[in-house]
Amino acid sequence: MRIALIGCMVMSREISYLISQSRNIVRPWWLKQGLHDTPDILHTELQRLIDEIEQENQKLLAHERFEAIVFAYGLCSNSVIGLKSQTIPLVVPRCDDCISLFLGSAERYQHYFQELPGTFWYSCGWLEHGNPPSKARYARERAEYAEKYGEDNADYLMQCSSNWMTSYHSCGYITCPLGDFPEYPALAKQAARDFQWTYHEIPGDMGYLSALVSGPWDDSRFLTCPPGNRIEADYSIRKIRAKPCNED
Amino acid sequence: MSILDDISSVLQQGRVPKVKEYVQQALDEGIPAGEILEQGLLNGMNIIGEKFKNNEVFVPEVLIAARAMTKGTEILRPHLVSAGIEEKGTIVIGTVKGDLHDIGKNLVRMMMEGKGLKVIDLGVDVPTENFLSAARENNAQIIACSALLTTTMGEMRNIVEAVEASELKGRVKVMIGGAPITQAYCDQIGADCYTPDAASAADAALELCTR
Repeated sequence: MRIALIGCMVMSREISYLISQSRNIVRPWWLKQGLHDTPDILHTELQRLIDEIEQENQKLLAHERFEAIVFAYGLCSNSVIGLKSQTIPLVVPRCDDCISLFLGSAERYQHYFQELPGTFWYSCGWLEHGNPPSKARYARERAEYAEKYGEDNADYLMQCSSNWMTSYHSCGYITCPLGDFPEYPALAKQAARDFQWTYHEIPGDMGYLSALVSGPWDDSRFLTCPPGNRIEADYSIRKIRAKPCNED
Repeated sequence: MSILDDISSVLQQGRVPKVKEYVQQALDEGIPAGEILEQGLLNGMNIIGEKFKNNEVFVPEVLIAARAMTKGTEILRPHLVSAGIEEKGTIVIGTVKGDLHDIGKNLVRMMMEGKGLKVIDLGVDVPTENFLSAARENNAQIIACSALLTTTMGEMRNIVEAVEASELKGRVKVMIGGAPITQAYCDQIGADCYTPDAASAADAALELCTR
């Protein structure tokens, strides 16, 4: 089966490996990490890629065409809500964000959400593509603020933007099942020391991502949104459902 | 340019010492406190709020402007009180249980205060029952709740249901907001009001309180 995969760079190492091992023929389109902070922009980018893939598909020979577009995204601040396609089904994991995908299931994420409340998550991808809390990051930000808004406002803005950190208790480093570079857990441990968080190392599990790349797309873990439908919020544990566009 | 224009202008730049200086100067000139608030501080804040809605300025600019407004209002408050200008309503605000993010919530609080509303801030990770008890104790008209995470936004449904099931039903409105929240979600859980940004949250709260 040929599939198009739209993914966040934060999972690029795991997914690239899984693509190399898959029976499916998978062509990835990557978006930069961090777009979940601007859900409108992420939504627009995702829809733009769906449209582009569908247009290209029309021009391909029958045996070359994509049979599904899969998303290495969860709700990601509800950015996937409203996405639609004309000709190719959309496959979306029923989870909040990449932490479920890194941990192997939405249930496992829920478990840690309850067990370790106030945890900031780190992973190989988050350290490579994201900008997780660190002393160095805050020094950079403060310098930028001071230049733009003056010293007094810089202190105030840093206090505003780091207030939440004092409410967090834990740093959860999700290991990469493919192997970690030793400097990554070291960076997470350093952040835990700097911010007085308890450090937890949690083994990653590629099962959810593997199912995304290679199937099966069982209804309990994935929404398969047929062409002519759009993705709608479900506000239950199932997260999302399909709604025919002509019912809008 | 009048002193009130100057206040509006330095407020938009987040220049706290200048805002304080000009507000004091305006009082010394005998301008009524209500006028300084409306035409100086709130004028500046409304301009920043509009610019924020139009993506012309971003969160840091709004935060420093809102802080400047708070500092300016502190100087005015005794004069406003003695002039008999009353608070226009009371709101209980907080970030829902399980969610520890507060930038948006703080911004909404400051914007609401700027509109002359009394705001009781319960902080972050606030259990449903605390929202209700604070609303009771303070005789609030509105419970305003914030969530940044899709994992925690479900708490808002619990708050709406708890208000419905209590004697506060019909007396206290529930407002919701935060990055993953939409009007569709507001309709789904039966909350009274959703607004997409801090400036419109303050407008909506004022309207709900003075309706």
